[in-house]
Amino acid sequence: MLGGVDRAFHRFESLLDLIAAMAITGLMFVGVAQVVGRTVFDYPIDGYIDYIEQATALFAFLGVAYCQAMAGHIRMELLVGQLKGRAMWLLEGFGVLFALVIVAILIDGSFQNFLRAYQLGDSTIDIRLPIWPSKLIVPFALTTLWLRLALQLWGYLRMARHPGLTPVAVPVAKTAAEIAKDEIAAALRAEGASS
Amino acid sequence: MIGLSALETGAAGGLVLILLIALGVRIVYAAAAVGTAGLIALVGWEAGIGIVGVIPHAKSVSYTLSVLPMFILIGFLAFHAGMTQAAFEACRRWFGWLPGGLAVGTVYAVAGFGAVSGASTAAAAVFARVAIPEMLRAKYSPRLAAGVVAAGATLDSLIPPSVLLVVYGIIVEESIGKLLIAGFVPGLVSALVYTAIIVVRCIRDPEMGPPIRGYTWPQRFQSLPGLTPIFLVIGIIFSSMYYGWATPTEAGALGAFCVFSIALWRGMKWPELKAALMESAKLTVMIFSIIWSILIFVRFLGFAGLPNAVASFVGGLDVPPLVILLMIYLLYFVLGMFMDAIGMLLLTLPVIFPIVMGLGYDPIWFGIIVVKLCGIGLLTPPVGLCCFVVNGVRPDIPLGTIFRGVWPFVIADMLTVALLTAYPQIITFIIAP
Repeated sequence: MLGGVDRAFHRFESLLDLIAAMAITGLMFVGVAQVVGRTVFDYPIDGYIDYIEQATALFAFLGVAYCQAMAGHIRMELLVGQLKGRAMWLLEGFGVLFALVIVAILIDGSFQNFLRAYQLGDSTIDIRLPIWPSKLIVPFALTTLWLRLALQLWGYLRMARHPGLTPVAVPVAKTAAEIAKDEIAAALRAEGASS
Repeated sequence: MIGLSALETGAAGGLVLILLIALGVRIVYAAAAVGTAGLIALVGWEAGIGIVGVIPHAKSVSYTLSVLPMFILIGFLAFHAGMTQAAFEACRRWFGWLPGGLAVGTVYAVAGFGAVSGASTAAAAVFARVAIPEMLRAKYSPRLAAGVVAAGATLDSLIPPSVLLVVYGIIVEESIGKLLIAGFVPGLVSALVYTAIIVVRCIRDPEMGPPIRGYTWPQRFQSLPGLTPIFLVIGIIFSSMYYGWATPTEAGALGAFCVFSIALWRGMKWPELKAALMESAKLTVMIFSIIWSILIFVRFLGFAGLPNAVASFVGGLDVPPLVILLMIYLLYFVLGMFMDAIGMLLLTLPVIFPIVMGLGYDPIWFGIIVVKLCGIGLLTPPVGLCCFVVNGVRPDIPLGTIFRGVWPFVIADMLTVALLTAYPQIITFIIAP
């Protein structure tokens, strides 16, 4: 059950991360167009900064659940990395429960922030783009993060109850040597693919 | 909060944050939670949530921050642009004749590649595979070979494009352009100090790293085109900042576009491109998240008046500023043994930066120093990640040997920091009006 929900949700959060990635790619092309337009043709893109700023919300937030799923948000593993079995799963569960509370508060606060912009009709200074869509991205992305955290809490509690099971829906704490191994695999895979 | 003054609440918040992080709570949640709880304690529930709800969007949706994904993208695409072999070959031909020449060449190749890829650990992984076998074949001591790869990989943090310098600039609100320009010369100085250390050691003990002779000048020049991507990216970013013909984001976009084109030309396929893009997006959201969460915490500290209080307390101490500065260096050196560089920067700067400014030091200069100290943290045990990476690629070279191998370079880095502290103009001359 948990495995199925986890896989389905992972497809969704990966899609959001891919949208963020596409926004980054778009930023690259727009940036090149802007430099070439301005320096070569003396024709900068109208409202360039406004567009970039509003689009920033896409890559600043959309991938946040994906990042959590891949254990991408940094932390100090000194203690967690030393623990084993039930103690480790419980401490991990505590960290996630803690995150669930603060993310819920942030969803509320950022939704209020969106609502104000929507009701007041806030817009950017230069070309008067409405600001509310980018503000809406924040509570939306944080909600996906909350759901991912809830899945992880489920996964950790399951492991705390039955430490013998195979972990599902949770990243596992790593030692420095294991992190190094992942880094190497990623770097050499990328390098090898091109040579 | 009951009975606590604002200042005491701030201090308590700082302690709770340290405790949570030690317990392994991810920094983004720990900082946001302590900041939120503290703000609520100081200004009440309604106003506290109001402030907290604004910060993530307000601080992320800014043109200045859009440079980050560009630099990150350059990094993830750099691996597909095939510059590692070419860089090593060119550096071998140009520096091989020196005592310990292959090691010297490795320093420049790994630093150049690391600068573009922006990832010290990844540079260490790739060059552990490319350079260490060559050095061992030339009868270099494994300790030197492994040490130079791990240490050289940390030089990238100062040479543009540097994500760490951008993060520093965002947090302390200093010019990112100036920081990127200012990092270049100290990065070069670090590499020169490494070179000196290698050469001196290999003169004293020629067995450690014999010179490689026999390359002709035409052969040397033939190797240069392989360095084009590295020179192109560093050149675009440095020159645009220096002459002001593009913003950091635009320069990053141009750099990324160059590396992207080279990678496509070299046959990068969609699965690789997609993986690089997904990783870029993941790292981007990680850095943005930690920035806004720390800024929630910083807002709380500001309301509590803690940074100013600490700064004026330290400023009022009857101790020479240099002693305080050295204590701060020591703090970073110790923290660097346990923490990731970005986390360390973001957690400490809100309190440390006002202290250093109170002592009258230059903000750009301090940024370079701090980032240099972060580099040292990638080498020192118990979690000197670059050493683990080299060991992972070359399990035949024991971790202990690698840690011993990097010590001379850690000492070299300390010498560099001392040099940059004694002669700050090495950093500041280039940005002087």
